[in-house]
Amino acid sequence: MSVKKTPRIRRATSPSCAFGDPLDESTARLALLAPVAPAPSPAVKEALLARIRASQGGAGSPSRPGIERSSHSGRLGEPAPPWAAWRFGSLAGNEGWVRLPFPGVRMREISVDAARDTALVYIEMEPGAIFPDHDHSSAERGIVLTGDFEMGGRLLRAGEFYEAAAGTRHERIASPAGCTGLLWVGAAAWGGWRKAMAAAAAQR
Amino acid sequence: MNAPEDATLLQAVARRDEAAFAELYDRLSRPVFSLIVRVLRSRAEAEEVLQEAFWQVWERARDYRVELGSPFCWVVTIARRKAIDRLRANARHLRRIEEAQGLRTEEDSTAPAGLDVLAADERGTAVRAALAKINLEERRAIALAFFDGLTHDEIARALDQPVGTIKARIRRGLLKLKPVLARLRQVEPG
Repeated sequence: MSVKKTPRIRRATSPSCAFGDPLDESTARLALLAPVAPAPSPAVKEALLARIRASQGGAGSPSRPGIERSSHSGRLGEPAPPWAAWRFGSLAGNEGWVRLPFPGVRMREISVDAARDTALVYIEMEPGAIFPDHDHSSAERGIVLTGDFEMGGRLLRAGEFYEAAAGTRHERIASPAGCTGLLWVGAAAWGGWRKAMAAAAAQR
Repeated sequence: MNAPEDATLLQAVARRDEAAFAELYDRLSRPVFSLIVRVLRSRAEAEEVLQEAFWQVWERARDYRVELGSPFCWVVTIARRKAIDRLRANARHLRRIEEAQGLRTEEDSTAPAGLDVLAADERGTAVRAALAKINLEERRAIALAFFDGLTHDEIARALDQPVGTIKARIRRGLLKLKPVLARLRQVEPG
C-alpha cells in the first residue's frame, strides 16, 4: 500500500483512568456490585461460537477448507446451523484494500452482491486527504462513521449520511479532520472503478 | 467462585477448545454483562461489547497467566476496558461528570439513579453487607472510578475535592470492601 496506515486511536482509559489495567483481584470483584442485569441474549453466544468456527475453518486451517462446523465430539453429524455459512471479516490486515493513486485515502471492499448490483465499501481518509473529482455511473449512499468530510457544499459529520443519484459528477471530497465511512454503490460500477484505480496506482 | 476450574477452562480455551470456551462463557458472561450494562447503561450496546470482550478472551487466552489473577478478574479487566473505551470514545463520560457535579450538594443516600449507588439493594444480604462497610463519599468515588471510568482528576473536579482526597476515599473504601468482596459469589441468586 502506498497510503500510510492511519495511526491507532490512543487508548482513552489508560494510564490516567483511576483504575488502570490489569485490575487486581479485589478491584475486579467490584463488578459483582453492579446491579444484576437480565441475561444477555443467546444470540451473543451463538455469534461468538459461529465466529470461532468460521475462524477455525478459514485460511488458518487448510485441512478444513471453507467454513465448517467444529470437530468437537458430540456435535458432528448434527445439521449445520444457519450461521455455518455466514461470512465474517475484519478490517485488520492488508487483504481487500484497494490501491488508490492518491494519498491518504484507503478503501476496503466489505461485500459485493453482483446479483443485486450492490457493493458495500469502507473508506478511511487521513486528516487533510482529498478524494479527487469523479463520476458515478451508479447511485451512491454513504454514512460518516467518524470524523468529517466535505461534499456537495457541506461538511458531513459522524452520523450524517447522503444519497447521490446515478450519473452525477462528484466534486473533490476533502476530509479536514480525517474520517471513516461506509459507502453503498453499484457492484458493476465499483468493480470497474476499482480496476481503474488499481491501474492508475500501478503507473505511479 | 471456582477459580481452579475456571483457570482449567481458560487453559483449554488457549488450546482452541470451543466447548471449554462455551462453558467459560456460561459461567462468566452473566456478571460480566451486568458490569458492562452498568458502565454503558444500554443493553444493546452492552451485548456488542460482551461479544467483543469474549472474542478477545478466545483470541488471547494463551496470554492468561495465573499470576495475573483469577480468570474472572482477567475477563473483567478486558470487558471493563472495552466498555469504558466505548463510553469515552464519543465523550459520553462527560455526561457522567456532569451528573457527578449534580451530586455535590446531594446528601441523601437514596439519590440519583445509577450513579453513586453501586448496586440495587434488593440483591441480597451479601451485597448489602458490602455496601454497608463504606460511606456514601467512598461509594461515589469508587463507582465513578470503576463503573464510569473517570480519572482521579475528573472525579476531583466533578466533586470539587482535592485529588488526594479522592484517591484516599477510593483506597479506604476498597480496603474496607476487600474481605466482603472476596466472599461474594459471581452470580447472586435471583
